[in-house]
Amino acid sequence: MSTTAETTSTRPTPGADEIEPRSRTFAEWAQHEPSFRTVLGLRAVILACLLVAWQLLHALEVGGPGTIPSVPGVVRELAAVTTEAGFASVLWQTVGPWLLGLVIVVVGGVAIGVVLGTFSFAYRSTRATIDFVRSFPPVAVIPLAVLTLGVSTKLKVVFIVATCIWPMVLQTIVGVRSVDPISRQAARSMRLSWWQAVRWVVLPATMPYVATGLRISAVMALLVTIGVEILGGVAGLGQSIATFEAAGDVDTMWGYLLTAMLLGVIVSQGFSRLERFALRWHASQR
Amino acid sequence: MTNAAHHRKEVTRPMLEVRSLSMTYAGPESPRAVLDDLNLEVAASEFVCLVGPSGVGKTTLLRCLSGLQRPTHGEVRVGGGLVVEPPAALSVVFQDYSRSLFPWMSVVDNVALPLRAQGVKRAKRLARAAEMLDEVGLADVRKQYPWQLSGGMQQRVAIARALVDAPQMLLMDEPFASVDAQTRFDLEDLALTIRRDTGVSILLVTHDIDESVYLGDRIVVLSGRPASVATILDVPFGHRRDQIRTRADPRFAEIRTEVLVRIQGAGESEAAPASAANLDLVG
Repeated sequence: MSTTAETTSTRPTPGADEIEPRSRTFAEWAQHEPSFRTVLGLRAVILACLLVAWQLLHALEVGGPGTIPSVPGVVRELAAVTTEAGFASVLWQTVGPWLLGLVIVVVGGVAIGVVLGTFSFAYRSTRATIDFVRSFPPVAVIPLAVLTLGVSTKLKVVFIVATCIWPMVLQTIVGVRSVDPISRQAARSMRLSWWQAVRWVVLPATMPYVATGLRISAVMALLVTIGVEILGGVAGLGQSIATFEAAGDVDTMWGYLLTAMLLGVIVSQGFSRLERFALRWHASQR
Repeated sequence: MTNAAHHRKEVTRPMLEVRSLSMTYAGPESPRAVLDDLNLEVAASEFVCLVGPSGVGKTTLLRCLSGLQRPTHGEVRVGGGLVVEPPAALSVVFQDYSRSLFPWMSVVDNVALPLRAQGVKRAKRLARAAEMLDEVGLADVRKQYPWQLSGGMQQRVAIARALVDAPQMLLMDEPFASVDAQTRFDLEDLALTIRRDTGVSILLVTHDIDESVYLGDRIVVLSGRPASVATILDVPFGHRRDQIRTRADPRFAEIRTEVLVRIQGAGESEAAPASAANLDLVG
């Protein structure tokens, strides 16, 4: 919108080295960095569309009367749910195990990834097995796991690790395998030991890949946590969603559901920022 | 004036000895020989330039010399010791500074890394790294990151890192190939100054014949497939050289022509004669 005004206003001044004014190609237009105001405006438009669509679904009574609350109703519920006395503890019941699981995922995933990425034979011999294991549907064993692990934090953490460690492992393997051979040679010629090279060269070089894996795993872990809470009946946001749904209090259910979704946004954006900070040395961030 | 009498080397054990070095890669159909019975010596504090047409196996040779790769036959000795792994007395400066310096470490941390690997205490190694940065003319960029510096400055950082653990032998793999002409002159003079100040032996691989004449006490010409030493030429300019006067010396042109003839004489490369035409414009 404002961009067309910019291009027409920057007319070349007639002079000795006059450059032909050239209209922007489609590819240039598609790739150009929009101004912050444009971005804010577009976001507002998209949000408005979303709200209108939501209200429309409510008005049309999709899924039966009362299934989808009105926009004002859902905002009211969100406010009511988040200001409730026990909200902080419910939130922590979800966030705490999520965080614990994620720490294990990062440490374990990176460790396994470094080993598999370093030793070609290990990578080659485990690849099919990893694909096999990570295709396992965790939902199938939740009832069984409730019996052995109990309705507990442990249950959530086990499921988070079992499902979310794989993106981390795979990303780390790719990262380790794509460390610049010149970097490796430089490390060797400086007589770095294997462990020194891992800490000072391989791991930092792998960080961009690990960061991507972390962003994928973090949101995935949140979904798994809520899923286990719903299916296993473990206290947390998921259980609240399930409880209010079962009780027919659809509006409150939506309040918790939106809380969970907003948490996802915070997690995703938070990790993006963390990534930008931690990888400020990397070419993609400078 | 600048070209004092050529210093005769003391008769001691050479810093670098290469004896009957051969390297053959196992190919899919037939084995591919890259280096064949190569012999070479670099004396203490000597500056030797290695020239040869591109694709002659200079990189393979450097990898063998630096202990990054085992030759098929023959041996390499640094300071008398047989090279089986990267030797402590030898440092390498790679051509591509943007890949050999680590972008996640500050300049001073990059330079101090070899000392860190040896377990030198932080304060001590940072002091030594700062000293080396002064030596290469980069006193005030310690806290910056390599990618914030120009190409020439980055290569200076790489040189400082190579010198930080006081090596006796420096291997430089086309170190000035990716900087502009003026920076290149400055870096060439830096290499000469370092040799004078520290007494380190330098083996510099280059495809620039002028550079080899300007820097080397001796020029080793590689040619053939597989490559071996075609000839070794003495350069009589001594340790103190000057970009303008040394290059204007009539002997400079003579040696350059000699190197060209030797490279062309092998009749192997198309790349070298093409650049020779350009070089003839000078002098």
